[in-house]
Amino acid sequence: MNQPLLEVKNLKKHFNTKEGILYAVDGISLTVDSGETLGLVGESGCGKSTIGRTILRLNEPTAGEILYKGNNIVKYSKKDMKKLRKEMQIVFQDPYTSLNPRMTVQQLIEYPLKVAGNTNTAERKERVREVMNVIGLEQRLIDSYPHELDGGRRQRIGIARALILNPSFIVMDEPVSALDVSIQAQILNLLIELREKYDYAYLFISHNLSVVKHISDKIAVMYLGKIVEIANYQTLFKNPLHPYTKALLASIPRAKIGSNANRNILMGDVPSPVNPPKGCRFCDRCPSAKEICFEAEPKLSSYGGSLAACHLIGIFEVKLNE
Amino acid sequence: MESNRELMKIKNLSVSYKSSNGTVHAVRNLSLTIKEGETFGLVGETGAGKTTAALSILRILPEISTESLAGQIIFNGEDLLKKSRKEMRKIRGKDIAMIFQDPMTSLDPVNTIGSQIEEMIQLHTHLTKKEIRKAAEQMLETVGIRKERFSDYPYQFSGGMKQRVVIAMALSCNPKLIIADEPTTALDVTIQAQILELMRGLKEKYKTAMIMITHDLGVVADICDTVAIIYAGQIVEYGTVEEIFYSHQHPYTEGLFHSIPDIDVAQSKLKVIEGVLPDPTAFPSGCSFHPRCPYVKAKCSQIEPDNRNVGNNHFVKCFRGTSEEGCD
Repeated sequence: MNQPLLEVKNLKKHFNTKEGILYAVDGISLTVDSGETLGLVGESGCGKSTIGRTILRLNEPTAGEILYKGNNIVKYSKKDMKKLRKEMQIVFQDPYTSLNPRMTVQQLIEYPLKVAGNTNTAERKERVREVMNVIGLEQRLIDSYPHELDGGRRQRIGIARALILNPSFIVMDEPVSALDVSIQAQILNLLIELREKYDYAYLFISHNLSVVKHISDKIAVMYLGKIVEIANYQTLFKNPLHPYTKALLASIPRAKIGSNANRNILMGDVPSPVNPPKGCRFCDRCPSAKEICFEAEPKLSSYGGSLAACHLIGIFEVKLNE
Repeated sequence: MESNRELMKIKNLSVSYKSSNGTVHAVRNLSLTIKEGETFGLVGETGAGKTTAALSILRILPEISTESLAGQIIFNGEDLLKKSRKEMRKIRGKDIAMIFQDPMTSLDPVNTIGSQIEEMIQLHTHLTKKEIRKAAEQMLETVGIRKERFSDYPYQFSGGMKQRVVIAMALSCNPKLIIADEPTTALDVTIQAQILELMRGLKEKYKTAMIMITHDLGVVADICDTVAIIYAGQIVEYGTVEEIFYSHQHPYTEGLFHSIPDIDVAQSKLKVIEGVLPDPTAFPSGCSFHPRCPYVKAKCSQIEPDNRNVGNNHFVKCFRGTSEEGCD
């Protein structure tokens, strides 16, 4: 079998807080092949962004392995990591706070080249102009400051910064959620074009299922630090297995009249990741929960082409069917 | 459930702000009618003027930066823009209440949620202390919060629960109109679904009219009866929710629908609206949308189109499809 570009095994990231240990990411495994997009969805606080940051070691993992092209990068020194980051990049959510307001577009986009040790000013400028072309940012803006630009253009700068080092893997941490729908659509199209052209692999993190479905090959659904289901994007929407996935799909307000009536709405709130429920993390909100769900934690198991972590699949009729 | 009686009529509302780059024309000549019991969706992108329009109704625009506020807002037969501050204070909360976008910041962090609801009732009724407490507790239960939580502080609630408290406050004096400014935008999808369900239920129960400000067409499909699409401070299309969803005519409305990835169909490239929102200090000549419009004709950059009636109560501000336009 081919080696995946990125393989994450049993990754954990716990934070110490005043209230106790916060289990932000608690034993997740996933793979991303080169040129492939893995969508990561879940509600706020489920650990999506922590995974993205931990994979790039912007957070140090508590436990687990991160294999990039077969090498466990958890063991890499700072220096090795710095080299590797040329290949692994990230685009942040908020283009209003992720750009230094005192740098011009030129300075912002060339910064990664400087960090990577490119000292040739003329060459850097040339590269910046090339990348600006690729991502559709007008050349006349090269000496502008972020405050002079709208959100869509700022996010293009964020993307340019990630692209300029020719990476193979990019974490997209909610890259379109701060943008208006018309601009969001432009950026989504751009990301898809870039992927086709340069064969990038994306870890695409978002809370917006329609957006994730639009761009992903595979989708992983997270709940409270765990992956509850991973499937091909079509399978996930056609045949969701986990009750949480079903609830999530049912909650999306569709832009169609009448399609939102009589849907099954999930009750309650996401519990605190400091004291997650024993057994299945979803047990206290799950409409189908049985005794076993409160006692034993379900493992991710294979059902057809999908992976899901639920005791009830195939045994009990899981409610929330449409 | 909506009746045909007019509750509010906004005529030629124009609002502009002062800014260092010149005058910002946030709302331009906006006219609309809200009927009793109706849920009216005001849809547009950031900076379109949705929130400014809402704030003008309640007369809570930032005074320092507001340059001009003109037009008429007729409510109960009287023009709200002509009311004194004292008169407006009696209307806010009692006749017209507001639900803000962010429940994390719209509650007072140092008062219990119960006392915040009580304050609202106390301001607008002559009930005794006991009766006020009882009414406030009832409101909490109506929005699905146990009354035992009356003395809890906002930080002890999750985002969805806080928004329930804000809704309880808005409903506590049984207003005729509620303005909800992106009430579910700050919430997660499963919680958003809960809040929309609650609002739909309350709308049936209390027959309160509502202006729903949102950028999310999914929310509109969920709850609105009538919809106005707003672009660059102007209403570009106006009609029933069915008309807007099934037979929209304005190129901007069409673009908005094309921009949303449809979860029910296979992946494909999105048809996007090119370009960005125009600079609100210097709008393009003619139709404000013409620089981004895929159907633009020479005339569009010269003359501003009027609101054209294309069916019953369906209006479009566009030349397209008329003989005036020339060829198409």
